[in-house]
Amino acid sequence: MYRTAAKRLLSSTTVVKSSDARFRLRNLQTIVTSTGICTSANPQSISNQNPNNQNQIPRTKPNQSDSTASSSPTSSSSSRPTSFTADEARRRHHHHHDERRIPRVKYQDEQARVLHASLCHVMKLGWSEEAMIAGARDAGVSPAIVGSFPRKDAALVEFFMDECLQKLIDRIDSGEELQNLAPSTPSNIPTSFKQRAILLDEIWHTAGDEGSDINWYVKRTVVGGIYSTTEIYMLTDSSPDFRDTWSFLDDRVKDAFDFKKTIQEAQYLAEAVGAGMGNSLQGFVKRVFQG
Amino acid sequence: MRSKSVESMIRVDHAGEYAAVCIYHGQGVVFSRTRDADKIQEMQEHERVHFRYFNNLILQRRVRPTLFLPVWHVAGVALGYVTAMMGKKAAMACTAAVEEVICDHYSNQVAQLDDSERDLSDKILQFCAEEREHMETAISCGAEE
Repeated sequence: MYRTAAKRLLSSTTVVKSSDARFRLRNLQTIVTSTGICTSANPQSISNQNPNNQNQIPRTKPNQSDSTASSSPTSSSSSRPTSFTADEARRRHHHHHDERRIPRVKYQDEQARVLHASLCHVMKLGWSEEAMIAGARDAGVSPAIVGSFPRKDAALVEFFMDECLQKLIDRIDSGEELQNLAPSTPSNIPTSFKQRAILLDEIWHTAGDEGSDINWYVKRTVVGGIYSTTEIYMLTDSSPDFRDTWSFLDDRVKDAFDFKKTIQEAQYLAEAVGAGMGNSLQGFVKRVFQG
Repeated sequence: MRSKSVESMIRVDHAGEYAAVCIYHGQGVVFSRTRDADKIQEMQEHERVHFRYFNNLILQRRVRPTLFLPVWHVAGVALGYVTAMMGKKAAMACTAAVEEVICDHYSNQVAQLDDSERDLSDKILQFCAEEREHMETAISCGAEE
């Protein structure tokens, strides 16, 4: 399903080569890091834009629905963008548009409303209980509800991150021109392992990954590395439109595909470590035999 | 039906069929010039079909594959090779035992699946029947010696 959305985004590419995967991966990365995931500076947009779809309780992973309509991919490693017509792609992803949910902690309606409302207060009061109390007051619920959240402060943060992730997924689904989203400073989307795992899975899936063996793990680890370094880079980037970050990202993605260079760097690293260890061992032995 | 447990079922079956293919491969290497080579090839082909089915499920449903696939690869080939080296009877005994375990495992899974996974449980039942055939083939082959 994401493949169709991604292909629509990149509808000009019909050539199938590893460069294609690279292009798509790069594009996807820019999508993810540039997505309009705002910090608490702009939580209104989140709470306003998702009035309906976040508060449903059963949040099943819609793998069932995916399997029925999505084209069954072969296990060949070269993913070929088959010629979907734009209509077919649109039809497919609209069919699944409402069903894509990440597995999230389930909140009851009231709690969810309180969390939504609290997001607005985070700017002044931080990610804390005070923000949640203020949010509860806004939502017209007794502040005592704050005590009922299983993990208090963490709940609010987790909720925000889940919202961001869900919003990202919805954006990917709707196939917007993600490059032109209006980002303020992007927040760290996943700091918890599980959310990071989900994010990496999304990235690869949209880029058309079809591995189902150890590569599955290797690819996700690699992308995880690229993502973290880019994220950190972005925090210190002050160029207009984050241009430096994108070029940094491009270089990292190129590195990932340029295996020879990676192996060579690994060799250098191994040599350096070996030399260091050798020297320290030597010094140690000398001292032992002298003392 | 909790989707998580369906996912883990698919993951386990995926690994299991992968290992089965590897075991037959190991045995096939030893028996490559004997009469049994055909039989082993045929059974391996069945296992490959099973594997491809679960592989597709993994891709469609975006299930995480098991991290231990390389381990199963090595272990499977080793098991197949060693039992084959021990002789035809040993190899067939190994096959029979493995297939029996797999069949039990599949029956348990089908018992756990409910109506929402009708396709999956039908397929698993079919695979179970095929594994039972393998087991009977192995027993009859071994018993002839």
